[in-house]
Amino acid sequence: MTSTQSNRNGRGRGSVAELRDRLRQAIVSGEIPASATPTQAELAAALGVSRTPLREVLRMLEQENLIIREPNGRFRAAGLSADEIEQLGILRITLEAAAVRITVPELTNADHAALEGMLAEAVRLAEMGEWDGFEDAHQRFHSLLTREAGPMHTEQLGRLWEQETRYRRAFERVGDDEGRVAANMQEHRALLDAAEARDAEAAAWLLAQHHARAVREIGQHLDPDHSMQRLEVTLAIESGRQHTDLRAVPRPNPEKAE
Amino acid sequence: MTATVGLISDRLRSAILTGDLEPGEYATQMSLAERLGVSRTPLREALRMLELEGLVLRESNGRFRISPLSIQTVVDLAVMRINVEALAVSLTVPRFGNADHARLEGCLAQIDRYAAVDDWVGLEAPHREFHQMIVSGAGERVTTLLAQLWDHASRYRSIAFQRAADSHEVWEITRTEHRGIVDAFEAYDAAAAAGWIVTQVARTALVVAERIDPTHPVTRVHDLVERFTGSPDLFRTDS
Repeated sequence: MTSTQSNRNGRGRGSVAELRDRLRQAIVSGEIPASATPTQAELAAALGVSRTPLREVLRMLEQENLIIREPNGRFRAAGLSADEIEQLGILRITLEAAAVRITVPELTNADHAALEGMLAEAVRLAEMGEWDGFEDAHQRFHSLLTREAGPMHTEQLGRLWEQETRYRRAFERVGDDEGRVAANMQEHRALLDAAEARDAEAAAWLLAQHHARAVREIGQHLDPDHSMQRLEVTLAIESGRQHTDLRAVPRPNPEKAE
Repeated sequence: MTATVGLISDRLRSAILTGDLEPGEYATQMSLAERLGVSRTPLREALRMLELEGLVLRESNGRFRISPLSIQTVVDLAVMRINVEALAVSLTVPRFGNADHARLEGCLAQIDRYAAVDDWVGLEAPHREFHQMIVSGAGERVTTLLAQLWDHASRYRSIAFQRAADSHEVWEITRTEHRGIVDAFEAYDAAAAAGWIVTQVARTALVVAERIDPTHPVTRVHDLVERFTGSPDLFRTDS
């Protein structure tokens, strides 16, 4: 994102927006560890800012679940961990890929057109750095691709989305560059192409890789030493690699056991 | 305060899972407060928790309804459990050592003993421990979700064991599947372990679906069985 675009969106305008980005960065980088519980006054002093804009910024970050308000009025940075995002990621990949496999064969021409619309919208909003709007279009795109899964299943996907929000919010501007946004959009494009071709298996696999890339990227920032082994196992299952030999496995015969 | 909410939601949950509060039953906050002997403020919070778990539905007029048993929920639960159990088991297999394998054998031996004396209530504890163990390497987020799905499914599991005569027949198949899982764990064969757990979840779901509504399509379940075991119709009851 260039500075011109930031200004056009009002982000460079006041100290509130600047302060929000700064505080967000401090949380993501661990500069404010999750163990610290500063008061508003202590935080203002540490950041060298006045308390009025800080109060507003804290409220914003609290809504994004990046800041937790303790009962005694102190603040704590939400713990962001490579382990947690990996766990959320493997659940999302597993449940969303399953939902995509169910949904893709059922999508109509009108659904394909609607998905095209959401994608075009998301591309434009990302170019402008309108992240709230992007988030919305992005979520609608993924929801439509999982629509045919059962209500408990889609509700669980919604809950995972919420739990991942703070990670997405925290990282949407970290290492933010044209290349990353473009890669993200290309992944959505390929996913939609597979859905339009009614290739459910390909769509599910592209989706899995799409989420895996994001999880790896975020995990890398939070803890470069975290191995993401579980993510690799999850991808092996999704690709079908793990299960090719199962037919050769000797199995006890249920009839014989009776 | 939070401890109270936790206690009340536990009591409410177990009343629903055991069928004490019947599927589809309507209730008001006041009637529930009276029945459980609790005050209404923490009850409200507990009801919200159970609503999130899908065990309770909030009606428009402020009343509540215990979620009815439905064929859609059976299939929905099966799809989620098959996928997440297969993942969790695959993640756990490589982490287990000799002591863990011995504990699995211990669970199976306990289960056998309870089954031999028809103590289906006593059997629940080692059975649950077994299923918790084989997913324990997946991480807290995954196991929490699986525990919720297990609770939910236990409302349906009792349908599969409705008649005493069925119990032994069904149990023999379950036993074979448990044995298959442990063999696969001991051989460090994640794919086979996943295939076995998928088999078990799918079979139970198909038996329940058959009892609730034999006409309802269950292709989603068969598709997943094929995906994880290589054969779609391994468990068709009519074949």
